[in-house]
Amino acid sequence: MSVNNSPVVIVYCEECGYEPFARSLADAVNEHFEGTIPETKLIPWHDGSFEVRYGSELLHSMMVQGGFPEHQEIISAVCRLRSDNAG
Amino acid sequence: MYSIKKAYANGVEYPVFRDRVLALGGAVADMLRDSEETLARAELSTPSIDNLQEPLPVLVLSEDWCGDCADNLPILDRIARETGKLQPRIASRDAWPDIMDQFLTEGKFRSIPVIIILNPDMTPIGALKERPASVTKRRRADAAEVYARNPQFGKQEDSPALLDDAVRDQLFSQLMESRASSRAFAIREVVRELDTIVSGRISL
Repeated sequence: MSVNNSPVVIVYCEECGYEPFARSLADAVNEHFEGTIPETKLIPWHDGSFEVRYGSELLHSMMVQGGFPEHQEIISAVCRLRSDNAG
Repeated sequence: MYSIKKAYANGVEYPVFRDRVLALGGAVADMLRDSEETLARAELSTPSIDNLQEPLPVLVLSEDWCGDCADNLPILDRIARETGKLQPRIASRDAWPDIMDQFLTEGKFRSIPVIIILNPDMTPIGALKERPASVTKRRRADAAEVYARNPQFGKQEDSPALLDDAVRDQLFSQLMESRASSRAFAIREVVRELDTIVSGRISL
């Protein structure tokens, strides 16, 4: 699946107070990729979720890796996927 | 122990917590209002708490954005007001990490609320962490039914990010309705667990 026209998508548990982490990550991603990929999409959810996707790729899941991802970790993963897709 | 005493002394009473949550607004404020509304129709049975010879301090670790806190703290407040046997004070989890780390869920998660019922000398009798296991089990079963009835939602283990926006909104709405339908059950279970802690049948 092409990722270049996909936004980064962040699913976060609203009632767990994860919104500030989600917004902060979205801001960092938007700033880094300004104009080259669509704005990061935020999806308020429940049940302890914190998940970051790019296209069909799961970049981070709190359920799997635990905790929140570093901003740079997500930015690097998106760069890598865009590069792989371009090649 | 010293931290527990200090956190308790610095804790706030329920009306202060309630005002802060309602001022924040959003989903958690709605949950608190829903919890209070369901609670108003519930009859609470607390035989062990009723039989206490003297009131017990209760330290609650909480945060204003926490949904389970909005669900459970109104219940604790009502028990405290009606029995006069519990004296809760609510403290910020993030301000007291040393206490939080003594009450981790499954030994690793800083889940809240943590409702620590204390002896008069401030030693812990027991704690309710996040919510009773029976409530988690019921919510999971109810959610599984929502997915089973609606094939358009896909599999329960799939990410909601993979759904179209309209379908995801429909799913979220049905999951919240399902959760609301179990609220009366959850209230009974929280009351039962708090009373059981006081009866000495649950240890740390």
